[in-house]
Amino acid sequence: MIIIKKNILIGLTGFIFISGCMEPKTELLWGIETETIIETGGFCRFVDIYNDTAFIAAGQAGVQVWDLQTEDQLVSVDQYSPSQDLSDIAQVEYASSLGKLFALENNSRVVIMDFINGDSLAVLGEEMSEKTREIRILESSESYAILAADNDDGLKWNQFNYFAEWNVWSNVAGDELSTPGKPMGLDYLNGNIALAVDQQGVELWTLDSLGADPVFVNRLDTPGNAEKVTLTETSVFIACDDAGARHIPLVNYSNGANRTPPDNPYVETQFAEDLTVDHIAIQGNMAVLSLGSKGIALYDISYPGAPEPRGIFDVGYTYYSTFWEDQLVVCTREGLVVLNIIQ
Amino acid sequence: MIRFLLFSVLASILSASTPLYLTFGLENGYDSNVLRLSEIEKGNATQFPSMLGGMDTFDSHITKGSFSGKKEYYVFGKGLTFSGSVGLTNYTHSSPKNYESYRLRVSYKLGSYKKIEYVFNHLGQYYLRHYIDRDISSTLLAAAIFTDRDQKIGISHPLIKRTWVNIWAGYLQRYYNNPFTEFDLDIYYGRIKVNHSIRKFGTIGLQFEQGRALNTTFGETAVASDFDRSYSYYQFYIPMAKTKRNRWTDGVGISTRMDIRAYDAENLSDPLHAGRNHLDVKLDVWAKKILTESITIKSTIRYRSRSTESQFEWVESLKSFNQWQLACKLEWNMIYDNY
Repeated sequence: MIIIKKNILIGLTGFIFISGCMEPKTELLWGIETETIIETGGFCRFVDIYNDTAFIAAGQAGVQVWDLQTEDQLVSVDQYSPSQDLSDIAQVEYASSLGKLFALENNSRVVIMDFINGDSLAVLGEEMSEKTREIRILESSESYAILAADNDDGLKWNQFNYFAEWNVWSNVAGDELSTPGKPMGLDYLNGNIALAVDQQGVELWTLDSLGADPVFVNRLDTPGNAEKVTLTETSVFIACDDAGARHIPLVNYSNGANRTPPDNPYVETQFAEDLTVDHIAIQGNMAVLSLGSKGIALYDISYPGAPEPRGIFDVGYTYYSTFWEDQLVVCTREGLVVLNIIQ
Repeated sequence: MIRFLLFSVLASILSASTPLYLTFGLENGYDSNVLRLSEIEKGNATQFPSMLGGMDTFDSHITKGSFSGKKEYYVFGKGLTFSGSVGLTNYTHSSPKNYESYRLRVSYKLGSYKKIEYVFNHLGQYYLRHYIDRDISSTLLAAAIFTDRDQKIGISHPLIKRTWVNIWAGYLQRYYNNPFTEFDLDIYYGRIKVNHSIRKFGTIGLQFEQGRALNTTFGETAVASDFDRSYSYYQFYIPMAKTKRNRWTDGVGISTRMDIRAYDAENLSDPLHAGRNHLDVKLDVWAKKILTESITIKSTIRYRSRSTESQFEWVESLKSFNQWQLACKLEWNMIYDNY
């Protein structure tokens, strides 16, 4: 009987051992945690952040400036003049050294405003031409240039200098550099200009200095329509609409015989092929794809040549996203969503 | 599973004076709708064969091998029985569907129709079918595979003459592999079954089960986990077995099982699941014949029909299916008695 009890004890111990609760598996997905949602009235289409101040293109609600820390609206403008509304603001760029805000009306012209004392906006006038799709501002203390992806003119730039004796900013130089494609978007970083030219792919231009003409380097075709571009130190990420997204190392644009092929992790890659991608934001190893009605998709780009999907998150109809320190700021139809990405 | 096998070996070498009962089983079968596809899905499969996960046919031949053992001890004058089984199932025309299953049972008999039991079932890596991995894609298909671990404790007690009741409380963990962990469920259930033995005929039973499945990964992954897959279910099971022998059979039986499931979610943006419920009916007919002292043959036919109810007609058509399963099992019973 003692032997039997001993054996039963061994058996029961083993039984409990094997029948312990099993652990669920985990996926290699990242998570998001919504910090706050700032309601902007109109569709929140774009945001430019300087320190803790968010300059928002709020669609038909005009231009809004918010303090992200306090979530207070500092100022908003929805009229060009008492008799003329701002129709549909698609992009804003804030030039901090000039205290100027550049608001792009959807597929139209650039409205320039002075941001005064941090609590008011004064409309100065309009520049550039119709069918401007995206702009970047290059600034120095007494000069600035507007780089524009002009859908019917090509890559366009205008330089403005400040004349203290008359207290005016005046157009002193500019050019229209035509391309075979239809420019849809552009980005500038460290002297490189990436220009998305729709069905023709993406062009790389270089800019030596403010006031100089950009120099064409090369054009590489992409699947689908190249719509928006995001430059990094080594690559350009392209939102290809319903063909997904593409990563092209900058070195691939070189035609020279002495060109060094990119390392394997940096090869040209198409990813998110089955998603409709409108914009890509990059920070560190994170790529955030704006997917319109599907929200955002996160990708791990530790190896930019092999982006790994980390999940699609429904945060509302998304137009654009950017990073504010470690947090992600997403422009949606419901407003500006601030969230944390949990890796 | 190494721990399981280790335990099986340990259990099998327990020494005592009672015999060890061993059974080898070999089953030959057929499944008419391995992936449980609706008629609409079968139509779509001709255009999108990738949804079949590599299969060329909707049906498959099945072979299953099993090994089971039983050992009884007497503790405080009552019988304590350990039994266990291992099964390996092979789908000839659908190799991803192959699976292993394990079962252990401990029961302590307290008297006539009176016992307490613990049952442990493990179903390892069961392939369901290919689904779209919506966490990262709109079209990318991946294999949905889950593992079940079911544990339940129960008691049996006599009610009136030749009638007894079984009452069970169970906990089933159904956890999916990547990338479908958003379907993970913890299922808690209770079951009551009343059995009646009819003299010179056999037994008849009536079982009712109620359960609650909690979607443990709701909101935990990406967009696919935004939908709460928790549900409640009710199940009725009526088995009837004629155990009285005749010249043709040594037992025949029929049973029907009806499962009613209602999902919690009422998200109109997800019409595929919103407010969906279904009625799953299974009808089994079996017959057994003892060929020799140690060899038994048993044949089973099962018809299964699942009818889905939804406010959307296309969801009802998409999620309803029919299935036939046939099986013929040969068992070789052995007794090992170490005097």
